Amino acid sequence: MSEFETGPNTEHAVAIKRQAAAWLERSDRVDWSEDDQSELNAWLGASTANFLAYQRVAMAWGRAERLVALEPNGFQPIGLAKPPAGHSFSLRAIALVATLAIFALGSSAYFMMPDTQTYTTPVGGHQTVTLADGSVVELNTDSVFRADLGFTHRSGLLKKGEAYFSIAHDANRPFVVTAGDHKITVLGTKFSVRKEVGKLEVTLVDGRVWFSTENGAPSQSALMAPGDVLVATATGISIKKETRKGLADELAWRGGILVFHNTPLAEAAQQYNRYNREKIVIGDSFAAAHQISGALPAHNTQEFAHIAQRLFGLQVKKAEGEIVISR
Amino acid sequence: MDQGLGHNSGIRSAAHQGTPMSVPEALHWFLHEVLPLEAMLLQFLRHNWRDESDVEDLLHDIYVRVYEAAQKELPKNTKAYLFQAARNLIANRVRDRKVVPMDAVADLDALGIAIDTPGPDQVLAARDELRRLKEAIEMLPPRYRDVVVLRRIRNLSRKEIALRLNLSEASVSVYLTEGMYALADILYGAHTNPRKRP
Repeated sequence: MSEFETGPNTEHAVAIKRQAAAWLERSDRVDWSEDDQSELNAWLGASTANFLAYQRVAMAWGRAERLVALEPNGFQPIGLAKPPAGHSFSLRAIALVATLAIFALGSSAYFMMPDTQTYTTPVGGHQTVTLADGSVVELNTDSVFRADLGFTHRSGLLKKGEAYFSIAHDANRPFVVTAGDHKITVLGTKFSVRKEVGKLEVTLVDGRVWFSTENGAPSQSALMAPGDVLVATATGISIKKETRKGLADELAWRGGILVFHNTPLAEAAQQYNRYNREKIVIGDSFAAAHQISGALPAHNTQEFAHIAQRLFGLQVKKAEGEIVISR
Repeated sequence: MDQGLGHNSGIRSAAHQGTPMSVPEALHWFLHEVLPLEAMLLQFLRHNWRDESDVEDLLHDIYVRVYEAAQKELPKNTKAYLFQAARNLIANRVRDRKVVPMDAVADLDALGIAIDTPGPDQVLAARDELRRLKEAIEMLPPRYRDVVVLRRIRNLSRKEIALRLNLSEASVSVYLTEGMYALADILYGAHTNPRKRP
């Protein structure tokens, strides 16, 4: 305490803020390791000034993420939907050339050899991959997807988890996504697929898709329109129409956000548990009966526990790898 | 160990015990009640301290003091508490350094800062938050903005961004760091005019 009473820290605020931003940038990289994490923890623990500077820049960065959650049509050929005033024209030109170059490269590579690759995300992971045909697949937490692009076909297998697809248009080669017994056939469109045990959910943002169930006892199919949310279970399929807002909520995971509307606490906990190693356990039916509404960061179990505690007055106990919420 | 954590008074006692839950409590307060007042606090510091180059250090000094105090007990009125901390700090600095700034006396009224009006965070609707975020992104220098948008909003990897913008991955990381730094300053008001960098 005494060093704070005699005056400012020896290190200047600007230098600390700069280091904090550098740490945040590092932690956002794919090769971030446990060693890196403990190095960061040491830096955060070294002073309150470090800790707060990091929290501040991380908070700003986290807030910016909300722009995704509220804009379902986020996929544009280049960075910005509407280039703001002052945007460098030459930079856009370079970006456009670069994009075309990737496309050209992608198609020639595809003609040379069939491209089969498997992409996997861990619990809490999130990965965007661009396939050789220019299609973009965004994988949510704990997911496995295999892409198979050939001369006459394009197909993908969602083995588990959830993915958002932005399929490049190609009238000659439909893209077929398989998940369990179900098939989704598209020409060029944007949609999301979530595979759970005994249940498949397809959300269509744009274009048309043909949904069919192959091996299931009742063979069923449907043509989906934008805004449709299709749920397939062992007993059949159902389709409901979502509003624009509802669609944005369905896809909020792309921005690392979970959206709840009067969701029972137990169900909300289940959602969190898809994203985090530290599991939330609802301890009793009294706690489970509470309902939660709002948009919350998927990776922040602390904030969820905080709400349960402050809003509902529930007990929060941390055990090994678990947060137990009860009466 | 977390017994008695249920209600308001319990939270404070939790802070004394140093349980994990005590951190989010003070941190939540800092992020949601203190940071939104940063622009106002800076305005106050600039008005009351002549040397502009000290202002960011003063601000962070206040942050450290109020946060450490909040870990023991959350203040009832955040705004009043922050400005009191600012006044005390300035008074101490004046005494320690024997340098008397022009406006040594903190003058809240002159700034039109009413202590008991709700902070900007409380009146900010979600829609305004979105508008603010868009404006903040648009205020970033072009290079930073492109990298920030591609990473944060479109969720492209560094490799993909490097390809699209014809940069090395290392440059993408540098722009991203600068973008994160600048975005926090724009959102919280440390620089109303972000410095232009090459």
